[in-house]
Amino acid sequence: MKTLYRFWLISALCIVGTAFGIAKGQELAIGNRAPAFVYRELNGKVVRPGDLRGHPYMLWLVASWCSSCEAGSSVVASHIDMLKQHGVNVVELRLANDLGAQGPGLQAFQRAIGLKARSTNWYWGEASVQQTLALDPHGYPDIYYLVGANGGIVAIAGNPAASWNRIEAFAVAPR
Amino acid sequence: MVGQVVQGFRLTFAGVQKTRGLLILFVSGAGATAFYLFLLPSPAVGGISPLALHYLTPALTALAILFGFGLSATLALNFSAIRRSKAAGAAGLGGLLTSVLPASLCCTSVVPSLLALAGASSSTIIGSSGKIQSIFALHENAFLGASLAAVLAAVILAARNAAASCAVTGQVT
Repeated sequence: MKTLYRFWLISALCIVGTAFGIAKGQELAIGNRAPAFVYRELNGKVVRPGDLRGHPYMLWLVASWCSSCEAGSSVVASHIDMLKQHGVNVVELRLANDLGAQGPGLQAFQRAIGLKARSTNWYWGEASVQQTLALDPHGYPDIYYLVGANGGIVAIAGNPAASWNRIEAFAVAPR
Repeated sequence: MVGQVVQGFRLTFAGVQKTRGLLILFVSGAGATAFYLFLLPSPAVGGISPLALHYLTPALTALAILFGFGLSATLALNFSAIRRSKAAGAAGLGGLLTSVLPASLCCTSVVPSLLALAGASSSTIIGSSGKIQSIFALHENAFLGASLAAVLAAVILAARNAAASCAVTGQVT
């Protein structure tokens, strides 16, 4: 009985330890600088760190099969003009290989949104495996970073449809 | 079979104990429907939240009412029977669980967190968590259809059970 108890205790500690180890890995946190990645856009162009520098932006990683991501894209589309007025860019990236399950791609989101998807302050792209590991080490299908004009991470959240108030507050905050 | 189902409904909602049956039906039905009204559109906002109501469609509203009152009818029918039907209870519980799966396992942190707890590395999680979650996202309608079938089966089984228990006791309306 004692051996069994020890086995379960050690197993539980291993599991909790592993989970904490992963969680504490190279995870980005509020106050850190956003990584200076070069993002590949769907149209073949690239977004360089210099393109984003000096302006606040929303760096959003999504899986294209994810329903909250599609709903979130519609919410962002309905406010994209307001974000533009406040000088806020949106970088929406499909997670590498859609987290292992091929979805319809971000083009499906763009089609659903229509013309708003072509807004000049909205970049659509694909995150590489390295970028996905750095920006989304937990493999969440819907996660975004609000990055200030100085390149510092101001907030980390998910599901813009459910957390739009936070994004709006970030956009209208005095700089 | 139809006759037995009708008889079960008659005994529960129009028989001598109809007040209790109707009370259970409407009170628990209203509560369960309210729960489903929040639950069914919740994948759009990644969790159960009042904001999910923005994504409520007429089809989801109809499903919420069917699920809510289907489960409460099962409850009322089971209460009116002398011996509760385990099969109806299992079908009802199955329907409830199947309907909850897409909302809780797609587009949330649940699956990645479970994989992390199981000791999976970040590379494994970002390479495989989508395989599990996308099933619930891409086949959400199939899950809802299966839930509806399970709830209907639960109602039929519970009604037949109520009718059968009447035959045993000789209860009349």
